Amino acid sequence: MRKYFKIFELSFLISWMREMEFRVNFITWTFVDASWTAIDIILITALMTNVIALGAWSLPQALVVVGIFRIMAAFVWGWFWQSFSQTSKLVNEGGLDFLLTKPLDPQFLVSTTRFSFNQLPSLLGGIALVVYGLHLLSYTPSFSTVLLSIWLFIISLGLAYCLYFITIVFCFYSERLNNVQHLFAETFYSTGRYPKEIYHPLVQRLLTSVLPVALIISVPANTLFSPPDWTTIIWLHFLLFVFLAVSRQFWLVSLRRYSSASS
Amino acid sequence: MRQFRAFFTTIWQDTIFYKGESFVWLIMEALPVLVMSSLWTSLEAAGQITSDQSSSLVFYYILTLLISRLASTYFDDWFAEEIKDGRVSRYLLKPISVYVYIMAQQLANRLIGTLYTLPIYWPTLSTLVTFPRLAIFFALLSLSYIQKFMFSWIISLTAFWVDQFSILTHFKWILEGVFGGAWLPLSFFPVWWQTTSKFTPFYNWYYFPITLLTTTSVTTSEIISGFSISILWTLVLILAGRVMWKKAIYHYSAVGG
Repeated sequence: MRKYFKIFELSFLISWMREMEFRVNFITWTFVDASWTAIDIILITALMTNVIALGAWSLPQALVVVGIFRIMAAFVWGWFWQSFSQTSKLVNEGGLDFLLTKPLDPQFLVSTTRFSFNQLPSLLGGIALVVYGLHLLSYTPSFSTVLLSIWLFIISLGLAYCLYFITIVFCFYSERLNNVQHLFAETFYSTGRYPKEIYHPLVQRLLTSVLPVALIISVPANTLFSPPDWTTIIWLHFLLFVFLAVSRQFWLVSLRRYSSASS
Repeated sequence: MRQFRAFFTTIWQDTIFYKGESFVWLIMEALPVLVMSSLWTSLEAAGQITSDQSSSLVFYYILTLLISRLASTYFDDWFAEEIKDGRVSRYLLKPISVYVYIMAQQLANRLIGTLYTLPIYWPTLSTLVTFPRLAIFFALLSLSYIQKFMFSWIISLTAFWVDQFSILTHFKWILEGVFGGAWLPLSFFPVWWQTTSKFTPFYNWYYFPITLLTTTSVTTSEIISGFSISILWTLVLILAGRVMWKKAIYHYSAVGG
């Protein structure tokens, strides 16, 4: 286990060194990320000035949600996207051999190949939005509430990883699926910022069980400004275990389909 | 024309063969429409907007999907990579037009994408207003397609000089989202924002053509002014694209094959 932590740390450091080597690239992408963060704030403000509430959320609550969304986006784009965007190409062009022959779990290698640090504005902007939203609500959550929200954020991050990974594994079943990395990222971007109450009851069930993207942002965010809903919190933990098992099994079964293209 | 037909057929077959990728693009474009339609329906159920407003907003998003499927271009990053890695030489050495190749590639992809989603638009389009408005809508769509094509062309050509070409693609998406109304109708924004948008090319990409179909309040003078601005932007972008291509070719050097 210690070996895996060491490799993770090394991969993280190498990514940081790469970022610092190409500084202009780092700065320009940081600017792009800052722009996307600003756009999210503009859009939610424009929407909320025309409606009274979004589901059960008022403007300050929606700002907290967008804040949590931006913090999660920093991990989704800075980590998962960076690592998974190469996987499909590796599988389709036979480059996965390079990872399979290493004395480490290939799922771990596929998931930790690269990190990006230009999502810092998302992270910092997200934290600022959460603080600002809570300030507008004139509400200071207790220390235990903040801890609970951070814990739920970590659980949601794990769930987001599993869902993203499952979509990536589909590349084993197609001759060419070089855009599969967009699938989860776009689903997360489109659905993550809105409350599940806006959907038809059937779609709500789907987005909280089979494809639980609706819970990833709303559960840690709701905990910050409303009393914890223990049923949903337990359900989120249960889903994480289920999706960890499913994603692992799906990967192992799909790996059997892989045949090297060349060497 | 023979070149165009040959490229078009090849890319058409390629797109049909790799259905998985087309399916992923389709989901990505349809998802925001489904989410936003759910949002308006829920706001109507909560009594925050009227039934008419809700259906017109749902209609708006269905039309953004149609426009996106028919008139978007996605070759910026791909062609910029070709330039960056020196593979653009093959387009320069062969007796083919690079414009024709990319145009055929984009049109084949767009047409297949539109065919997949035809069941969504057909009931919507069949209830549409009079023929003249539909004709104006498609004329504006053609102009916006040329503008989007030239935008992508200019963005990819920047790869001849700089490495950070991809950020321009992101800014193009942001601008078409906030000034074109691709994410949220411009009526949700302040008046000064809407007025500024009218002078950008993005206004005629989504918001204006859709407003033309969904409301009867657009006057003839607004149509004329919308068209004039769109034609002006088309000419400016074509000119900029041609000048940049000339300069880029002059600047370009490649070693090996």
